[in-house]
Amino acid sequence: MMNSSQLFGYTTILYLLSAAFYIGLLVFRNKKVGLVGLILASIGVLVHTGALGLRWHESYQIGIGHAPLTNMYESLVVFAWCITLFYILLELKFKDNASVLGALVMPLAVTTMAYASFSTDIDRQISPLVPALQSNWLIAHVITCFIGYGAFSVAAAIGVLYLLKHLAIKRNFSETNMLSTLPELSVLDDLTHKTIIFGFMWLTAGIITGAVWANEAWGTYWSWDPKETWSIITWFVYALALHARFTRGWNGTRIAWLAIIGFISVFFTYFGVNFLLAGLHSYGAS
Amino acid sequence: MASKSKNPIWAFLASVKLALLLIALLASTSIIGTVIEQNQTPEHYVQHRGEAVASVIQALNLGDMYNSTWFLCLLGAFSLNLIVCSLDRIPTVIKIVRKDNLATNPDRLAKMKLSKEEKIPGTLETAKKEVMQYLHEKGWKTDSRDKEYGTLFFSQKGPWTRYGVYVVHLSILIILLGAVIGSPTVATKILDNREFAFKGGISLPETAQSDFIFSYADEKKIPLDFTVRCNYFDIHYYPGTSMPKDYLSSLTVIEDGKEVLTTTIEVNKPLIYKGITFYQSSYNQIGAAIIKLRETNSGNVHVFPVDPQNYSVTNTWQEGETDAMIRIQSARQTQMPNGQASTEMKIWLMDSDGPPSMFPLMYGSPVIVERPNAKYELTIGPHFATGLQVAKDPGVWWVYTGCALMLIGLYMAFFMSHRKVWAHVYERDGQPMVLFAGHANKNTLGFSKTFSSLTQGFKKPQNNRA
Ligand code: HEM
Repeated sequence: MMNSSQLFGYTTILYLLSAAFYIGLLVFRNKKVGLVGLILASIGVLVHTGALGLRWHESYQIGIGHAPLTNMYESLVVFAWCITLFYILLELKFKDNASVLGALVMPLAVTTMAYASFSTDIDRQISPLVPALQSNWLIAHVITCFIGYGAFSVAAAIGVLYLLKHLAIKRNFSETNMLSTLPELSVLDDLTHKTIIFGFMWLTAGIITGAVWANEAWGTYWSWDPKETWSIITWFVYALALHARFTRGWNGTRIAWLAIIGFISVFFTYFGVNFLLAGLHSYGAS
Repeated sequence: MASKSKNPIWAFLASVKLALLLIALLASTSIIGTVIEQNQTPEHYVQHRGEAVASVIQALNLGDMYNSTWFLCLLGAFSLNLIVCSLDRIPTVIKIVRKDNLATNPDRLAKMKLSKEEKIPGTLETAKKEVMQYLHEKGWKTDSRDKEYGTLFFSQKGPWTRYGVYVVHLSILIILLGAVIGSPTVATKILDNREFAFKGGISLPETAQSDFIFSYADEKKIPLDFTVRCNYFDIHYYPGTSMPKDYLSSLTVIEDGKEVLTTTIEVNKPLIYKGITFYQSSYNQIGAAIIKLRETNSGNVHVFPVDPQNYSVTNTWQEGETDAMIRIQSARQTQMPNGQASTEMKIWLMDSDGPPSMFPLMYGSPVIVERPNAKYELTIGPHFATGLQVAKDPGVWWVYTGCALMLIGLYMAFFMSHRKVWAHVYERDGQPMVLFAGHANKNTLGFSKTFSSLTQGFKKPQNNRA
């Protein structure tokens, strides 16, 4: 009988292969290579979905039944799931214009999965939920936040590619350069913007569901605990990016940098707070 | 948008530059409070951060920075900026929404990015009818106006989506307003009415009741205009572990001596009564023991505190129609198998349905007692006090409304657009012609697809006819 950790293992391998093919696409500029990458990523996401479902089922079998969204390990695994799924949908929508991004996004997914699976800081047990975490708002909150985080990660990846390509053009690198495979700068710029908009919508929903949940559990929808504060900082950064673009016409490198700064803020909201600062959200405490 | 007569202060307050500055300031200063532990004593900061840093913390109120004057001023400036900016721009938006698009000069239509001209067989009159009917079929309800060489038809979708941005901005203000309305500080210092909004708590021993709570702000009593009683407190564990699964308190609300409501609250499942919310937040043990009886069919729980000095009192209760009573006959110290000292009691339980039951009961281990018409699960265990957090936040619905509006507004602003379609039907050298034109304020790529399928769809049936 297969268990969920084996399935997560296969997922990681599929993502790794997919990442390799996407990097191959960047190097060899052969569309078929990219297609293999996409197929592998898609199979990976299916296996990943199955693994999440199985872990959920397993939690019921050991009598503590809860959605797999409740500790650092599970959240990392869900995060990797979100970025991969978001990326696949993006590629299906924008076709070849997006496909090279896989060379950056899939390694991110692999790193997340590998970190979740091998880091000694992380407990991989299915553990019982402390009473405060037993709420349907938890599911809504985690899912909305993570779709947002997934989109912001992809936006930052596009931002990085934008800056690289921009640099290559400025330095007059030869046409045979790998980065020439990338879509036009204007396309990358537009993709960054659209991805940020999508992420912003979900981050907003994530903050709101979190506030409603906090109000149900603790009687305060907002208490400026470090995680809440960092989430609002992140929200401000992206609000800034939207306004700078919409009303002051910022685009190109500046938006690319804002996408990267936004991602650093996301990263801090997600990891920094758990590992560096204490608060309501340090999983398992409370 | 900037009219010449504009006051420079107004222009400054309305500027997006100021907005960018304020948002950047809010984002960056907010970091401070995540690095410096909040709400500690002055001594704590001196100990952990040293004299010098502690004095800066003291001076700028960084120990409670999100309530500090300067941070609130920043939020105030942000709100003012948002209000002025929106007031400044909304008239222009209203003009765009209300614009008379039939006044458009047909010559300008041909110059628009999306336009397409077609010949139409038949007369001008049949051509007009055909175009109008076609647009209706495609879901574009038209108005029309006669022009110099023919008739201009116009139809639009989603003009109101232009307000999306302002719905978002308004929602932020509503949320901030809700925060002000629900703020205990505002209630105390500005409204001078501590009962309007508060956060506090009370520790209620099982079977005890209270008609006040203690404010967190100043530890003073805040009266409730009703009484709450804790019937019992319970901890559920994950099976076979000592890991708590849930904390529950059974609460009864009493008004004018009448029990109006009994309910069980849990973490994540508070009781809301008259705008006041009671949350399960903690518990502690208050010494002496308590007997708990649960009737397994009805689920009714009856509890009787035990006074160690005078334990052999008779306690009575009603289970359905039946009167019942219980008494501790005797108690003696024993040793549990693991060597710990414990108390064994002889219990006498009786109801109107048969001879009394006599049985031993040990501290912490449940006993099942079967009566002719009832079955009780009996335990004797620690007497708990439930820790309730009690909050009254009349602003919370403002906040929730603001949140809902924000999501709606964001959706309008990002994913909906104002789309316009014109069709000018006219005659050129006796040949009826139609000139389609279209415009969308957002997602122009998507709309250009819609537009070309609209114009091509019009051409096709004609080709068939021709
Ligand atoms: C952090 C809080 C804020 C949020 C979440 C927010 C949200 C938005 C959104 C979603 C848009 C539409 C952008 C687009 O379509 O790409 C927008 C536009 C705009 N915002 Fe804000 N906003 C905020 C604060 C402010 C402030 C303080 C001002 C004050 C000047 C402001 C001024 C504007 C202006 C002028 C526009 C463009 C409107 C137009 O011309 O259509 N925003 N805002």
